[in-house]
Amino acid sequence: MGKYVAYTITTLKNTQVYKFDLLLWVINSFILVIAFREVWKAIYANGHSLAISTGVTSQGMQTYAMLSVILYAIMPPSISYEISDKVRDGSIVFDMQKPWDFEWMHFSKAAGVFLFSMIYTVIPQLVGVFLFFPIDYPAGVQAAAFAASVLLAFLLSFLINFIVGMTAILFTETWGIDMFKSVITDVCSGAMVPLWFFPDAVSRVLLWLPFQGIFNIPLSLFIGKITGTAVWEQLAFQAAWCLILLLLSRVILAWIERKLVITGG
Amino acid sequence: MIGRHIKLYLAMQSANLRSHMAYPLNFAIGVLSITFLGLSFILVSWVITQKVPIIDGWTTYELIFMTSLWRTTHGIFIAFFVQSWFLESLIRNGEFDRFLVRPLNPMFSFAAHNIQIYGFGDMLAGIIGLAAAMVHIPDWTLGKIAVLLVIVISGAAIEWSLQMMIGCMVFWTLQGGAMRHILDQLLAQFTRFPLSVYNGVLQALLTFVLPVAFISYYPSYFFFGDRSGVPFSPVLMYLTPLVALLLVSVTYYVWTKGLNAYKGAGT
Repeated sequence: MGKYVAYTITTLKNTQVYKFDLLLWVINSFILVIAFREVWKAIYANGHSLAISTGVTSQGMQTYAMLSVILYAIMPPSISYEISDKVRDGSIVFDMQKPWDFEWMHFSKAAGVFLFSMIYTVIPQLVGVFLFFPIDYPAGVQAAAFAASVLLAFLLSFLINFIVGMTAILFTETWGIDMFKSVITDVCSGAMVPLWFFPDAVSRVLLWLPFQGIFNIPLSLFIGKITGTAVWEQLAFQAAWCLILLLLSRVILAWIERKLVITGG
Repeated sequence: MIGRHIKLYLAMQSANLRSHMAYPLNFAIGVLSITFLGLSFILVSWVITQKVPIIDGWTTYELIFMTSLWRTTHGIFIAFFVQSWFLESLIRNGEFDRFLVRPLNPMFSFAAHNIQIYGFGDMLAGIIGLAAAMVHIPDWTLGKIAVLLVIVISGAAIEWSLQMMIGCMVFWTLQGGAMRHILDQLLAQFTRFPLSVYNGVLQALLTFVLPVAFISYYPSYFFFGDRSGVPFSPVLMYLTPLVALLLVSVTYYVWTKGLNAYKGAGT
């Protein structure tokens, strides 16, 4: 366990090097937070019965939009490029042979980036949002459920990235596949448009996919669109998909390790 | 003189293109996935306007027209000028010097150095979006289509100028990655919805300081029936080619200054 924690801390330290870039990064997100809020405010101002038909007020939607930009920062980055670089120069073999678990290693690294984004971008931005914009935030059980949901969202996003990243070992060039993954995740997770905006037939399908666990569930919890027993159902939904994807990633990893041994030996 | 440069440019770019085509499967997947990405943005506009048919006076197809117009210009930028993104790494690796020692204008040599096939995916998505929107926008004439072509080229020139000026920062500061990222995000965000949804400060900023709005927002009005909603002044919808010309001149000036300040990568 200790070596994974050490790797997390090393990643956290490495990411802190570029102070000026970091400042620009925060400014950039803040502009986007404001822009997203204003877009949705305008959309609500133009759609007269929108609050009734969707069950979300303009204020709730503005909160959803601002938080979606902020949450974006803590989602783990793609690892396809890193893996395909390592496949090309052969160092992937050494990574796999090291006395640690390949998936845990990548998870520790993602955790380091997560901590970094939390400290340097998410918290300052949340403070900014609370100071400048009137928003209703959850309390008590609802707040705890939101926090748990964000962690599960992070895990879901990591697992999807990891599975897609591992395909790099098989195909070497994963640029296109990774792009497909990003587009599907952005559209189907509710990061760009909340799922309740989609036509009914489409949103019914999207609600069964793991992607909605990344943005739609945590953000709906925050603005109080999900309450009561539905809270537990939605958390269970996220957890179930995490478990399925974790098992899938283990199966693929085991298969790839065996394949590498055969071609390498 | 110009003829020789055109011939040279075509020869260099076709060599670049051939080197990219060496892996046809990657080529196909790459272009396809970028087309898919571009279409997803158009899809998002469509989804929103199914619930809210008119946003600040803009209909579904007008919004799709605007966002597709940017996709198209962005595709041209990516295909032919994306190397301005990589000034920083070219300089750090010492590869930049080769543009300076060639018996050609360094700007020309730099521009002809790369062709990025993924740009064709953006162009394809943009053209599909434009075609779908144009069917629903009345009164198209050949003249208007010619103007559209000028607008597309001017828009690409504006994006190139903005990207290149940020790229040129590297001559003085040896970095600029984060600035570039900001510009990319701003371009993607502020070309999708009418400028009037944003507050006055942002509107002024995107018109007069970082003239992103001239790429697709202002010129779109020229093609629509209702032109009453143009912020600041209706004159702005004619200015895109002028803004492009101005920015390109400024960029060329900044580039020349940058080359003078450039001392090489050291060592």
